[in-house]
Amino acid sequence: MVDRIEIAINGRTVKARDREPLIDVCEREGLHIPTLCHHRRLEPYGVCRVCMVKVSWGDKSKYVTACNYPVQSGDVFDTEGEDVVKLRRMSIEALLGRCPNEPGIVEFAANHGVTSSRFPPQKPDGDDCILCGLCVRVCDEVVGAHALGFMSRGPEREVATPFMEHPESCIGCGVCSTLCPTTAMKMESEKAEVLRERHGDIRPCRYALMGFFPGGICANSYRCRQCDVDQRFREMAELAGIEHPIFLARPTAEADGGEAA
Amino acid sequence: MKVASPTQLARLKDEFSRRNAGFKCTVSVCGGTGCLASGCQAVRDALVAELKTRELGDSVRLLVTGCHGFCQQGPLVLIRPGDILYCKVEPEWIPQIVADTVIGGKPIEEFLYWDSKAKSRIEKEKDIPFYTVQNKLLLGDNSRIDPTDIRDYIALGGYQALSKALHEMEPRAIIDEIAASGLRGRGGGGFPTGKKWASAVKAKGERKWVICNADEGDPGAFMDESILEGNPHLVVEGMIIGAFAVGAGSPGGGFVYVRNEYPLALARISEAIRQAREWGLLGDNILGSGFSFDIKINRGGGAFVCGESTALMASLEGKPGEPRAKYIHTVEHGYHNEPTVLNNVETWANVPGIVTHGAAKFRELGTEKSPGTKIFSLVGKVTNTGLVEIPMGMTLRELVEDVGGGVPEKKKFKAVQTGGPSGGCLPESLMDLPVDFDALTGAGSMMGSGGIIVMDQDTCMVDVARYFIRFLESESCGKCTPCREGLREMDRLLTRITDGAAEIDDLDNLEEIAHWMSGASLCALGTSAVNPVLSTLKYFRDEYMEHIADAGCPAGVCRELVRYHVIEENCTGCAACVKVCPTGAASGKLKEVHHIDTVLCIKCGECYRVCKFDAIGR
Repeated sequence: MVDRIEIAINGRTVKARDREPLIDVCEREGLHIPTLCHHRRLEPYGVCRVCMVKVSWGDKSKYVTACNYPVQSGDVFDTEGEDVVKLRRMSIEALLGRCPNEPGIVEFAANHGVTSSRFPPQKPDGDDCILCGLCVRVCDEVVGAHALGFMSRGPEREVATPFMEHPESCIGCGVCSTLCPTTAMKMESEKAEVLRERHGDIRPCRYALMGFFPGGICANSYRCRQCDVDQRFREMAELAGIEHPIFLARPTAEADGGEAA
Repeated sequence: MKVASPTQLARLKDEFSRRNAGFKCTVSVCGGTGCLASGCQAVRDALVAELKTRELGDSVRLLVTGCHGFCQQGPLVLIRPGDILYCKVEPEWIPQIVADTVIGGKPIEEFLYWDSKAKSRIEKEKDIPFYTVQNKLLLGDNSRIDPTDIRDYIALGGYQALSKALHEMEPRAIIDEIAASGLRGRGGGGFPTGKKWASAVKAKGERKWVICNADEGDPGAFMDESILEGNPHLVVEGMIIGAFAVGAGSPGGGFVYVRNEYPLALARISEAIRQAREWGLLGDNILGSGFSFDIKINRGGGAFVCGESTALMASLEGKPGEPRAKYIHTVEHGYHNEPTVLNNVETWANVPGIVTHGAAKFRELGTEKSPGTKIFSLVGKVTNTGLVEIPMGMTLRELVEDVGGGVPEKKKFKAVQTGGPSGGCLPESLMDLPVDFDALTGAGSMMGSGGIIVMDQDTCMVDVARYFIRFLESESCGKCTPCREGLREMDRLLTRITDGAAEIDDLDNLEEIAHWMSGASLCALGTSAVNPVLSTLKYFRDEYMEHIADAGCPAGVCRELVRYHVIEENCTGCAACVKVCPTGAASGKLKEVHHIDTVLCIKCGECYRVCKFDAIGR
């Protein structure tokens, strides 16, 4: 069996695996840590800085992100102290300032007591992308299409496709827009048009491209939501308790066995 | 030729040092970046021609070397024996210098350094105040070495430390010696090098790596550049010793990550590595010890953030240069997730000396917790700008006043900024602070990689803070929220202040954002980016207040807040301002009090600069 270590979370002693991400331990213990850039099927990224917690050892302490902090024996965590909440709220306020008109972010912020922001948006009408990178990472790590990436740096950073064109490697699975916590990822419908154009009469079914079956042809002109194949895989995904069929096709090692089972 | 054993290396050392000692005279022309800019190439050409005409090629050794440090006085020519230093050398002087000094052995009075404080000429380099207070452990050999010739380095005892490490010491003993020396990372973090190496030994991995971080990106800093340009083998030797100590030999290896904006440093380190390989000091079975190791060069693409260790490693792997969380240190999971020791150029350069002379000797300089010397690039409003190497623990005052010669032109000292763009600005009252890792951090600044910028009364501290925040904003990778959004917002708030459009709440907001950024940012770029803002708010709050409450900039820098006007009682009517004013805003007859039309004035400041009677106010 795996090594068990003891840590303390909010004054309670808790058992964990050595170097297990803190957020997984909290989840198991029924303690919800808010985050905007974490997904359990993806490598932790630690960029939204909403899941801040404090870890201390004796009189030393520092703030870390729960999503990627590997717990070690003797760590003492505070996930709801005033200072922690302040840092967390500030991260949320900054993202709300960036995307003041994005319903998902407005709601998330309100749920955490943030209703206004001192940060003015960079684009006049506000952005709708918080740069959490879920779309980029799921496309890299799960789909394997590498059709998305980041462009520019600093405040200019944005999610983009290679050379801002419709990427050849995109299989149109749509998982990017499913995982997107905002309304920024709207590519799916647009993508279907492109696939139609590119493939003409011989259209591979996107579920074939995801690896569910070999070489299937789409008879439905990429109107996926009206297609029984689409319905079937969506139901299967729902039954398995996951958001998108691609996770059924390409489960990660830990995902469908490990901790949850 | 391959050097196959320590005895062969010792023989070569004797041979090369005898060869160099055989010259009647050595003329060393500083070829550092500063002197190149001030025209040392023409001086060198004149020397070559003159030595050729006089047929002195065999008895006089002409060296074009790395940086001697005294950039302010370049081009520098140092003549040995005699240690005679000529400053601001003109090519036309060369025939006389060759005749009188090179052949005659006598100094030429009027070409020597002029000490404006003592009102006298100084003949010898070592007697010049700028040099007397320095301890050049690392830069000392710069003026004695042709950096493109490994034989010069060997002649001065180069690669002897490597030979000792490989043949007389166990890896463990080397690490113990480095740990005992108390050497701390010179890139700015100040992490104990011995401890880092020991962790790398413990870390599990079939391959281990050593990396030399030469991605020096701080504006105005050129410490690492000067080592690589002046004495590249010192770094190569340090890296081989480090690799042997931590077990990064083949199949692992080494990298030098050098920024592409340093073409000369890149050429010198590439040549040094090529020569070391040719001489058998890199490659298989180094010095017959059975240890194999090689170094590859990687050119950085100009991103400041790639100086951060994890971003650097991502860049080495061919990924975008963005940092990642370091909760598990890079000594365990570094380059390609394998154990990696990353040290700065200056840290590596300290290694051979410690191995040769021992930890105790190293500890003779510096302080208990920050032993050894540190190289600083001293720039800004200071008389002697240049590259200086001082023992740590020297006070900021000694550094600025004694080494730097103080603020020029009778201006008043205002602040000194240490540690590059993410350092803090320290006021006059903290000038007696010792320069070491902990004291500077305690005061809200940092050692950083060693940039020291001196500021005088004409510097606006809000403008300075904004300048550095803008630099960091444009260099932030944008990956994490606090750094990306926080720097953007800080820039906006600081601009409001310098535009005179700020409210008093803006200061609280600045502070709140700063605390958030330092607590929640992903990497050190974000957490330390707040230093310029927090330190100026702490030590120069009055200046912020004047901008906000009185809509004025005391230093006269912030254009929106400056109103150029004539101070009537001082004006002699000399019309100097009238002559330089490009828009005709300054007007008035000779010997009558002048006037500046604020509507026409474009605030270029020329009138202020030329007025000799302090009659222009702003």
